[in-house]
Amino acid sequence: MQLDEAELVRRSQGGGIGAVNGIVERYQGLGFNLSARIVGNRASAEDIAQETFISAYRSSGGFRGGSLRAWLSRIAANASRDLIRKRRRRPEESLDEAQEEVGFQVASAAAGPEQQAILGELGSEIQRGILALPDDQRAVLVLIDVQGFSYEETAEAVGTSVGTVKSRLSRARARVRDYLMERRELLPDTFRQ
Amino acid sequence: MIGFLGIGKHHRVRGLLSAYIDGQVSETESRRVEKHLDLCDECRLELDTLRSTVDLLNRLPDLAVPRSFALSEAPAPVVFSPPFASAARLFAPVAAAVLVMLVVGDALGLVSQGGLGEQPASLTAESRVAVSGGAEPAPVAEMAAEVETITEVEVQKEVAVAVEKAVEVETTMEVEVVKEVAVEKAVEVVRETEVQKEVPIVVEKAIEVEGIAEVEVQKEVPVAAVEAVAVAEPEEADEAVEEPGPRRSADAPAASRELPPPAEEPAEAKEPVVVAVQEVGPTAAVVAESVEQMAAEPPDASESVEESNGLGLPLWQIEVAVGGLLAVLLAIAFRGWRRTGRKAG
Repeated sequence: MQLDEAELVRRSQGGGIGAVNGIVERYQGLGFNLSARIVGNRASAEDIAQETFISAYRSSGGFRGGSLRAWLSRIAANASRDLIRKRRRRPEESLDEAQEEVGFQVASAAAGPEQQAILGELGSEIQRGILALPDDQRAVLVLIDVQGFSYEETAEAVGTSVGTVKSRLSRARARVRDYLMERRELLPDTFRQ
Repeated sequence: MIGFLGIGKHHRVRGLLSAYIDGQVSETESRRVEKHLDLCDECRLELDTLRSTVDLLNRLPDLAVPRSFALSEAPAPVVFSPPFASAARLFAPVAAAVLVMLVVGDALGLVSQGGLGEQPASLTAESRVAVSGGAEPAPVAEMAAEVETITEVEVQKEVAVAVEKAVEVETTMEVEVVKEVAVEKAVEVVRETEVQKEVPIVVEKAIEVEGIAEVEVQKEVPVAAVEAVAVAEPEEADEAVEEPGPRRSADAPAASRELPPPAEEPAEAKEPVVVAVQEVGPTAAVVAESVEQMAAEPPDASESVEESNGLGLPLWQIEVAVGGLLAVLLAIAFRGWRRTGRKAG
């Protein structure tokens, strides 16, 4: 896996569009999901994902090894953060976008009732809880708890230390937990104790 | 006090719960957390709800990628766009027109001679003006050349800037090269300053075939004030030769139109003058130089070019500067257009 990734990077740095698209194909799910969870809007997530791969192609010479997906995630997370800040500066323009946050389509059909629940209202509430987080906490939470990144990869992706990642993640989880506790009726039994 | 310590311990343990769930705490921290959880129901509930939250987040489904993000072609590299590029693009047509007018006008002698209707000057020459202190200016050298048709005058500056000027001379002039010109000073001031004795003039006739004479004149004037390079009519040039400055206007009225009258104030610097004139034409050109103060002379069509623009700079230098500026603007505009075309493509 790592060798293949290194080979893809080497070829893409040589300017081969085919090699670049190999990387795109492999990581477009990550790029779109990460962006969508951070910005909460499908159309914006598409734009960010596309821009992520274009930026990655243009700055592929700046990739100095390490985790390719962390590097791509950093580009996507930065683009997502920029969009969020832009929205804050012009809230009237992004009101419609923000309200369109629900309505993501999942990649595969749900199996059991719990999974069905998380696709419905509960899933939307969780997403809203994520969107209620500050920027820096949001990216860390999505990377680790949704995308399954390690602390080290996340630190690389957000450009900070593992210790900072830990503290941001701790605060983010506590905030989402508090957010969900206020909507207890939607939650599984573990929240109702 | 005990309660305060207890709150502090709760706080420290709760700060570790997130990392504890992920197994990202040290053994010491892990033991401390577990020891506290055995005794604290509140923190244990905190851990459970936190763990449930993480579990829910972990189970969030992957979102379907709505489309492929594969690149159809290599994206164009990002090029720095100067902030004035758009203005330059707008200005480009004007710049092009002015540039063409400058070049064409210069070739026709319109710009440097102030118009078609005037008698054209036959020479532009570079002179570094220096007047000996306390002395009234006097003519240093006068040279006359006869030009029948077009005379190209090439002027070389000391600063190694070569400029070619095409000068059209319509009149017939007689060339008389003065090899030695004695500069006499009309001394009426405090001290007698005999400024200039002889001005060696080296004239090389390089080519003279079938009526085409190429005359290269180089002069080294180590002193004296070279204030004006004037062109005299043939008959007037003859009269003007070796006339002391102060008396010339009286003795040679025709030449006095061409040569500025002497100035009253003394000059301050003393500098060698290097004049290199190359003329190519069926005949030669009229070259007349006088060492006089320009300030005393109103602009005249027969004056040298550099003295007629009123800016203290040779006109050709301004033309070169304007031409260079326009060329830069055109280059920027061309890049902008090309980039726009690439984006559109």
